[in-house]
Amino acid sequence: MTVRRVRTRMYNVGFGDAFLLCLDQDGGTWRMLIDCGVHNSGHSTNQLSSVVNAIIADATDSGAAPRIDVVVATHRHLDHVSGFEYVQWDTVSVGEVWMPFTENPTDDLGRSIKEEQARKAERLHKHLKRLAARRGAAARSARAAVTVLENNLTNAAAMARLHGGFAAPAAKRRYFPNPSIEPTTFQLPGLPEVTVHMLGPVRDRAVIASMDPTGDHWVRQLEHQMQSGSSDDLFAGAFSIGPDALRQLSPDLYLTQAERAELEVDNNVDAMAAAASIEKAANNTSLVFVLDIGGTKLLFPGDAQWGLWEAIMADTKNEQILTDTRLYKVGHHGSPNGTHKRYVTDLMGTNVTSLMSFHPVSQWKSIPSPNLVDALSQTTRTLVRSDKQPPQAHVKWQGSLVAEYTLTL
Amino acid sequence: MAPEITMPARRSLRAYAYDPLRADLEGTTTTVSVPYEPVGLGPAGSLIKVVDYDPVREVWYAPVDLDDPLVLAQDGLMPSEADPRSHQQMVYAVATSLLEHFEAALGRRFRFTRGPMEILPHAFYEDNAYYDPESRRVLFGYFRADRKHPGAMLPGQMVFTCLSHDVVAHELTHAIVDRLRPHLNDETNLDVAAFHEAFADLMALFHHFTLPDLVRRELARTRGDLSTAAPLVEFARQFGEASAIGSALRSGIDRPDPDALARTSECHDRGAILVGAVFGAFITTYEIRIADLIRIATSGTGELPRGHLHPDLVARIADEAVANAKRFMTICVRAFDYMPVLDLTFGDFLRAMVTADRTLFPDDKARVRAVLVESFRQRGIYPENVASLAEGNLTWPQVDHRERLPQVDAMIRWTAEDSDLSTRANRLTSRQNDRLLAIRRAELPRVARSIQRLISGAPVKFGFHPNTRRFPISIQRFHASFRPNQDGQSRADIVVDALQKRPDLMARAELDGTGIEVWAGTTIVADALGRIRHVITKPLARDANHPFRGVGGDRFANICELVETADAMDLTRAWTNAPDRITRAYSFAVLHRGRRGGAR
Repeated sequence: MTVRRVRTRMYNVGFGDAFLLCLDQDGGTWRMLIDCGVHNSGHSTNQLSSVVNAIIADATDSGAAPRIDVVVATHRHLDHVSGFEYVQWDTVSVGEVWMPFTENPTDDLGRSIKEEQARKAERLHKHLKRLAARRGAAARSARAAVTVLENNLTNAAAMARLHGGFAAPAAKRRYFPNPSIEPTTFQLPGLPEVTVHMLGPVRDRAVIASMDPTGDHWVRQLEHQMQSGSSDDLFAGAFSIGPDALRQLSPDLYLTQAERAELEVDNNVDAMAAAASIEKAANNTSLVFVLDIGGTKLLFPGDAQWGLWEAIMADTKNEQILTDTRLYKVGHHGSPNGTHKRYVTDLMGTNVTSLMSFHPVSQWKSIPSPNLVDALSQTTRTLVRSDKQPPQAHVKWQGSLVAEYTLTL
Repeated sequence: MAPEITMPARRSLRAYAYDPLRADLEGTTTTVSVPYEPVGLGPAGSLIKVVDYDPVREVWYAPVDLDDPLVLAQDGLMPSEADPRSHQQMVYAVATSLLEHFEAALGRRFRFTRGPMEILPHAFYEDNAYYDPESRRVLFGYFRADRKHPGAMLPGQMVFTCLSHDVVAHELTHAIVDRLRPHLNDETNLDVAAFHEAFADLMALFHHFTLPDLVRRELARTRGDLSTAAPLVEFARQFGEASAIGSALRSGIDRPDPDALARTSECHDRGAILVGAVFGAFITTYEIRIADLIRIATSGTGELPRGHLHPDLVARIADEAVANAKRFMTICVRAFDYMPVLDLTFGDFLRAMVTADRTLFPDDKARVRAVLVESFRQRGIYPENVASLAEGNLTWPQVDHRERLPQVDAMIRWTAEDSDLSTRANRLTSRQNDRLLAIRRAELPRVARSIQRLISGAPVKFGFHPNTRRFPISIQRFHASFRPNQDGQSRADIVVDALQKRPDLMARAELDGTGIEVWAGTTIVADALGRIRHVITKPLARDANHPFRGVGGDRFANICELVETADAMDLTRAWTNAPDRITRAYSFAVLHRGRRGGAR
């Protein structure tokens, strides 16, 4: 059997990802679902539960039970997995579930990275919520940070389903990379003509944690502050002096109210930097893979950001694999560092269609990055975005619910 | 009435030798000698004003009175972690001492832009300290030692960064550099921020050698082996241990690696390579300097016997170490007048050091410059566009301009007036000082205008865009310095900084909102007759016929690339829309905070 065409269905979840890949052959359709979730701050007009129902309907051949050959959860962020919390999934039989190595319960490194990320996210969330309830600039920035951070809180029901749910018989769970068991290049189950190149994540704490020490430091600093408390005196009471006494003694040393307020600002940690650092760390556990269907290449980079992209691009073996991609799932919803510039300028080629799942969020003005949007839609390249439905060749919209892009081989 | 008692020349102030940790471990307190000046409560002197307000607890701490007879009679308060007044005293002592040595090296008096520099010894809760160029304050943090890995301290013990000699000297150096070269805050290449860090570390390390009792003690302990004299060559031990790094924060001793520079971008790590280059040369020249003393002491064998060194020998080699540190500090500081106004690279710094030193000491008898250049080479630091590392090629080229720099006499007069105010006491006490500065302020615009006319008359010659109507040239700073040269004569260097802003290029590259500005900048060095000797320029020359074409490569393209890389790495960018995103990310506060996260 040969794959005759590839239909990639991008569901308009909002700020999140849900892609159903349908490989049509003479005898039927082979299906892969890549992520299903939406960000708390970026819902579209479609309810997530109706998206889930649509996916399940699309995965049902007439007269048969719903069936998806492979479910991929690129990483555990809510905007990629929250849709798996719905019970409808229990009717769907799934062949395999692919997840990053950080989800593997028997992988010590992976587990420790995941637990550390989860612990940090929860602690920070608790602390920032407290800050956010106050008034003033610090509270405002804490509130903005909370919206980013919430995406990192674990959706237990969704994760439980990915790890142990779906219809019987039980799906096989595979974790990547897993050097002792899983090669990085392998064939799709039941489709030997399709080769998978698993490029990421990498088993390197430094790449995942953060390539940016500043952000990481903010996390540490916030934790530090949570422990310290400022109630105890620094010196014996006799050493302090009231402002009026000081003004009388030496007016030169007095700081005005405005000057003192300015100094307090210096004491505020950058909540957004801390939240963003946690967000990025999980993004960099994303599965990044290329499907090669007899030379036609599709790239799904999850939410890989700067650090992981950098590591992938630094490996010269990957260059060949990434050259002349026909389909690109835009990384991290089109954010400024969710796509590596060199991939776009030197490797992806000109005959490429990019699918960007995205919803405008007013406070995140840099998403999508205008430069990226330009580069992905210039000359012979096509960009399909989930928030706009203009007529485009080979793209069929079902209302505003799903865009289907067809590649005929 | 009996005649007035003359003012003392010096004031002695007790301080922790390095930090309270070393004091606990080794019993090392010391006495810092600073120029005497009457000080107000704070202490508030002519250059340093300590303001002890704690914004975390919203508390003022009572200011110390250094002129209190009880304080004077015991060389200042005994260092104590529990008494904030001794903290104030220590910050004042270290800062004032550093400034004195800085001025000596600079060859002219130093003033901050707006009166004395304000220092807050207890400004925030964090394992950090920084200079804030916007409010122009130096802020020191305090923090609890790590509870799991507290080093040689109590778990959770309070650690004060203002009690670390090194941290005080480092942060104050940032403030001084900001005054001398404000445009070095424009992070236009990776070396700029790294230079700030390296230079501040170097000043802190060399400042150790201004305390001869400590140098003698360490050299006796290590039998003259300076590179193993940890307290002298390490930076901020207590700070490092308390933050669970398990060692000093940084060290002047490195392992030269010619490839390290290319793969290092974090500014402290990159700066450490520059520190290693300069400090490595310092150690090598020290060893050359003491070789004869060791031979004399060992009947010519040069092999030291086992056991302790003779105290006289220790004293002599300590003198050499102190003199060598002074020589190196001087070389580093003097380089400032020969540095480009902006977009500095490590290679530029080397060229500035070599040129400044060679101007005064053409012979290099002690081979200091030769060792320095070799030390840079070993760490892969090469200046761009030089034919070889021979000294003649490294020095900035001599120029032969027909034009003379105008108004040189005014600049020379100002420096002479300042130098005549031989002690700080005179400088501060008199309303003279204010009067003098008022007169000078009235003179400044005229001088600036005539220099500007000269440059605007031949902009291309000075590395600028010819259309000076559209892109006016501003004269930023101009001054004269006096320095003794090889044959004992005082030599005057006249230095002028000129700048030209290029909003057209900024608009083209969509740099608005990044905080990065595009400037061409030139340092002009002239002699006492106004003859222009060097034109050290950072042009934006893209025209093939431009005389400075190729100097520093295509700077504009480099700036655009830097912004692109910074954006790619900036993890908050997706979520915020803050102004000045690049410069904000590079600000001193973040840099210093960044270090703490990146240290492990």
